[in-house]
Amino acid sequence: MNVELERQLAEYGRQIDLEIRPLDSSDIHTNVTRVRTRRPGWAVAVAAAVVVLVVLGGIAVLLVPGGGQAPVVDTPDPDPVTPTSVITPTTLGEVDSTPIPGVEGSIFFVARWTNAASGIDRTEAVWYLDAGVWRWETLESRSVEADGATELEGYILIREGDSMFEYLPIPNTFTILDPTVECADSESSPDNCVFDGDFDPTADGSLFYPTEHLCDDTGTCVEVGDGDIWEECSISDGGLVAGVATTRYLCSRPVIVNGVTETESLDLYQHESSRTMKLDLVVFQEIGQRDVIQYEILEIDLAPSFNLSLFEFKCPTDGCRDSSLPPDPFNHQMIGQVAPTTSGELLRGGSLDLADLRGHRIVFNLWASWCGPCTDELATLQTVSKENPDARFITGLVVDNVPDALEVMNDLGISMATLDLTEVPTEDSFSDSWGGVSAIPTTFFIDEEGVIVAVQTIRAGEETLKEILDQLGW
Amino acid sequence: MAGNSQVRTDAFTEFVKEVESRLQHALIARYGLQVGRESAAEALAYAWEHWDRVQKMTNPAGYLFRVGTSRSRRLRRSARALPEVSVDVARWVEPGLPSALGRLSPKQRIAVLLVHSFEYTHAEAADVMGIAAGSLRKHLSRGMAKLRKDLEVDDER
Repeated sequence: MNVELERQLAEYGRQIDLEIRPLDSSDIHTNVTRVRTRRPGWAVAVAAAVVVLVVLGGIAVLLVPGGGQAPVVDTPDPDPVTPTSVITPTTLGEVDSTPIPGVEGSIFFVARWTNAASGIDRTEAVWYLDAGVWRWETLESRSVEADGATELEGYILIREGDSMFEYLPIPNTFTILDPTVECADSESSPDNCVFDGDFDPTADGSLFYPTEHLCDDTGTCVEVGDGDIWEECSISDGGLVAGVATTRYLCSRPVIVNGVTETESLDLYQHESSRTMKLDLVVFQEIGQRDVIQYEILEIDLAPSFNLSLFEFKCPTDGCRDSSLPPDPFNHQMIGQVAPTTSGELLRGGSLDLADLRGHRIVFNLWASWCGPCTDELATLQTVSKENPDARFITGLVVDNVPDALEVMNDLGISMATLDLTEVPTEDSFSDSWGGVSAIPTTFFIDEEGVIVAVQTIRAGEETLKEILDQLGW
Repeated sequence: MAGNSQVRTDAFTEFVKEVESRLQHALIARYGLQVGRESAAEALAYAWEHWDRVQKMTNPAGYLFRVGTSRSRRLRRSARALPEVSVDVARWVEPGLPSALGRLSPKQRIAVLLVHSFEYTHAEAADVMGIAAGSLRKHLSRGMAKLRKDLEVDDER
């Protein structure tokens, strides 16, 4: 390279500048088109859902006083002790999958708030048709109590069938130092929240997404999730939509198009069918006198039964487990099976074949450096490994790059042997052979005979890991 | 009322002219071309909605940059896409530069692009990022060092 880096960057900047033009309506159009035909933006789905939840709040159905986590009245949290009920993201309810003209994928949304005792505070799911393939994604957020503080974290899992398709950690965690003080917005309690992420706590709207200032019965202003502000809402009977009596909400808000304020409108329908609170949202957005630039169907089912076959979700033969409960490490399809052949180079040199460790107890953890729960668990595993010298703690790096992983390992002081499995696509036979690893971190416990005896499919804390080892008699 | 409204609109239009390019530069450096532009649009929409407060700020661009990062949440799953090096400048620019930039931490990437690609002073870049000048220099030096290592450029002088 003969040209110095600064000059290269300057040339590159000039190139980018050529591609930058003033913002105009087409930017919004591009955005909307992408949302419509590809994956539903979470904010879009959530915001739309919140609009409806909020509106429904007026009829006292959904929202818990004080905001925050809101259990659905018609779907009480399952008993955490007897996880036989089936309220998983697969129990959305009857869904009209009739394609909407001009819309590649209909979008279905469910928001559910689960029992806090499970450690999973909230799960939201969206199903959508992406290039002819049904996918679903869940947004999970958890609260972790530690040292008198509450830390919230979240991540999004995108799945196809029952396989993980993509994992998107939400890059922000924040700690609420005093749980008795609500961090409803950053301005009212900035000192109470410690942030680790992109957002600046002093930036209003940058972290918390207010859900107050709702539409009242008269249809006056709302400010809903993600800071969206819809003004001049009117509510009317919308007549029949899909044969069901419907209430219509029509709201508008200003948007900036090329520096000029225009009006964007939201047209939203809600209807109820039989015992189910079913919300079909038809969202149109217009800018000024332009043609409709967004046409979206969102369906929100809150107390439903669901046609499982529609999304090819495979329930275990003994029924779907309540997803709000931590998965049982001793109830997994791989238990009792011989660990699949797995070998590869080690990140810090050398190679390893798990089969060569026959005769040893093995704790085999799959992780990636970009996965927050994974790296948390990795540190825990390192600690636990020191206390259990009889077991071999091996980790496998997947869907990642080695330099990043080494950086994390060095930072955390990880000395466990780590197999480089980064060249192995998650969807191939490797994942299948391990029972369809659908998310990471996943940890397999393998006995001296090479038989899998426990599988932990979510992040385990030190206590959980020790409990598993204890139950195994290790 | 109409007069007040016009004054508000005029003031905001002037404001957009002033900050739009800075916002776009910073957010494009952070999220790539498309998401950066969309985030900037959303940040400006936010500015309009909260204009009474935003116009009184000492550093509204820095504030809106943070709003843009927030508003980009729903856009972030798009692959970060800095433009590929075009044929016109390929003689001067290493084709691997965009991907190397992509491997920097977000703050390093923004600092590097603002200062070396978009010719911001350190103070201006720190301003729009809403960080201290010292922090800016730290991100900049680390980002440049990482780029040099990544691209195997040996031109530090």
